[in-house]
Amino acid sequence: MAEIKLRARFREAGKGPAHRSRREGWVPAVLYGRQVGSIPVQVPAHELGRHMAAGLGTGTVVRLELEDSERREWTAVLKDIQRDPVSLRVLHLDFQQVSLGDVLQVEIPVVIRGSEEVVRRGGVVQHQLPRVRVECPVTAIPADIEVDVSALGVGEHLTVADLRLPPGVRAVEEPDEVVVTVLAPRREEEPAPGEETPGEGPAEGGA
Amino acid sequence: MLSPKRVKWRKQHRGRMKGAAYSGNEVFYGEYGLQALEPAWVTDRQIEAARVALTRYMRRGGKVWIKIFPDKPVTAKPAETRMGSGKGNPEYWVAVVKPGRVLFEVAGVDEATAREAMRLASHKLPIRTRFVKREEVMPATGGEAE
Repeated sequence: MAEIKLRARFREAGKGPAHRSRREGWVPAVLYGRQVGSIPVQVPAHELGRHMAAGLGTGTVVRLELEDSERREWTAVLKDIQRDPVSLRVLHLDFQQVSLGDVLQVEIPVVIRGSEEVVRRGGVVQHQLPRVRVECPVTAIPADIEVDVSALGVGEHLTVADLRLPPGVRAVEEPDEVVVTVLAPRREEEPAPGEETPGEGPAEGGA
Repeated sequence: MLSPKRVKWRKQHRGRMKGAAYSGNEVFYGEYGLQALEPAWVTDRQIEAARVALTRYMRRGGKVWIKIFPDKPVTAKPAETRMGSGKGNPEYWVAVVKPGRVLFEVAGVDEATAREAMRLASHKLPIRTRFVKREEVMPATGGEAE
């Protein structure tokens, strides 16, 4: 994806300043790396929202324009996004400062294609590895990794070794790690006879 | 009904349900999920009733994952008993659910079927829930989960 420019500003470290920054329409973040050390910053929420709607996610290269700083621009990779699990609002971002020649590890989403074909044949696609950790140059971070499952039969699976990675990208996960499996659908099952009645409880334990 | 096979201690303190679910809050195995929006103790019977509702509706296929397990014993005193004489007996099991927790996941069915199955299952639960989809790309700013 194209490089994104994002405005950032220093902020005070800590929980109180972070809350304040969110109230004032910013998203707290941290910029860290070999050259910068660790700097607490904040980015404007509405600008971030616009970029995220356009595809900004972990692994995206960002040019951070740091206001009131000696060096104004830093190239960084968005390493982590923390969200509120209910409202899905972004709470905090991690930016890792990089140089364009660096090789780094990032988590890339695995996108499944052709699952309709499997479902039509009566299988159920179980996506076991939603994100794969890869090592690649900063300039060649893929937006996602596609996996075509249309040729898989029930009981078959694809592993990390089967992933078609772009040139220069290497998977860090174990090669035999399962990415996607095709399962047989489960028919409705009736409750097993001889169920435990409430109150019977488990065996007592403890000293 | 779901319950632990063996526990170290028969009775537990009630505990508190502060905050949100910071783990188990994404659709991980399936394509669609049912997410809790409120904190609650969900009993083994409620989980079973919701599971039956889900699988009945999806009888043609698909797979269901139950992502919560009732591992907390709840005690009660018998009716018309005077107070005192210690804590009551374990009566049933509950899963402690916090807002954001994905309770059930399904895969292998179309969205309309999954949505209706989840709607039926949600009526068996004591909390408000919402239908969520697995995020295909990295999540956007929010509001894309329904």
